[in-house]
Amino acid sequence: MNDEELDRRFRALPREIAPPVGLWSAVATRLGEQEATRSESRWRAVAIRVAAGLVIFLSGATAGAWMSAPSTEPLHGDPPFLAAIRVQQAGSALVRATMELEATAALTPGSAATVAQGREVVHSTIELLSRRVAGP
Amino acid sequence: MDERDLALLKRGDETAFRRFFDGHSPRVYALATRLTDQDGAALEVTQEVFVQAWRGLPRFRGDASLDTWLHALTVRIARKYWRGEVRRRRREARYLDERGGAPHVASIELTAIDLQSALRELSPRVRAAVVLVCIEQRSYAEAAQLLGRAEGTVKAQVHHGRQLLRERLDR
Repeated sequence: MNDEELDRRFRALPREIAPPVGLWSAVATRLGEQEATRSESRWRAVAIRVAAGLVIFLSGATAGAWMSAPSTEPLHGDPPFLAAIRVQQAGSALVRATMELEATAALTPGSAATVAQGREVVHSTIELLSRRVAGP
Repeated sequence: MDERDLALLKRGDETAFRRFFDGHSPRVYALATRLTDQDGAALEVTQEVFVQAWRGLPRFRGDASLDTWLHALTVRIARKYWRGEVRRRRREARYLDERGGAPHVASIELTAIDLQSALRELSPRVRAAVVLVCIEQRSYAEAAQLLGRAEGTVKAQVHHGRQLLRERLDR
């Protein structure tokens, strides 16, 4: 085959190919998911900043031991910056757990009872964290 | 696309974006089909192009035409796809090697082969150069810019690709 014949074949290829019908739906779904994630991220960023600010406000002293303290004891005494980081991490983990829970609920029909139990666990953990931050 | 449509797109108007998708997806899909070597991959790339276009349109400055911008985006995403694909295939090959080698696959004698199939047999880098220059009719300089390579490299890859295609199509 010579160059001219190859060029002729190239030119014969269509410049456009109609994509499958479902492609727009797939794109629209992805865009919707992105918007949801973005607004969730905004919410999460605000929530974590509020929690961190609260800890900085509540824990003024510099001594203390978060790691060795029993879970029922308050966070008082942790260096504020360290405490803030720990609460940020704990807050992120909880939000992730909640998101996973919601995703599971959406994907698994009939899982309402299990999901409700999961929500309980997340909420009681948040309460525990709040008690540790606020103290008795 | 007129100024008004572009302004709507940049503001994130969903109806305008749907029109934009309807108007441009056949070109993007055709390009993605030729840049990748699997039908599913072309769909994934096209989908990703429009998701990223939606995010990127508000920042579109109009330095190049919207068409060129979309083509550059398609090439960039297809390149990212190849890199992931190459890594995946290497991992799979290693996995098979560790377990006594890949299963024997009977070689397939192709009696009739069209240009599209022959293109898919080229390496991703050579294929991209051939697609942009020979099918999309981009200049060597434009193709080099889109692919992030030197113009001389693109010329050599097109030459090599054409030679391979002629051989394949003569079989």
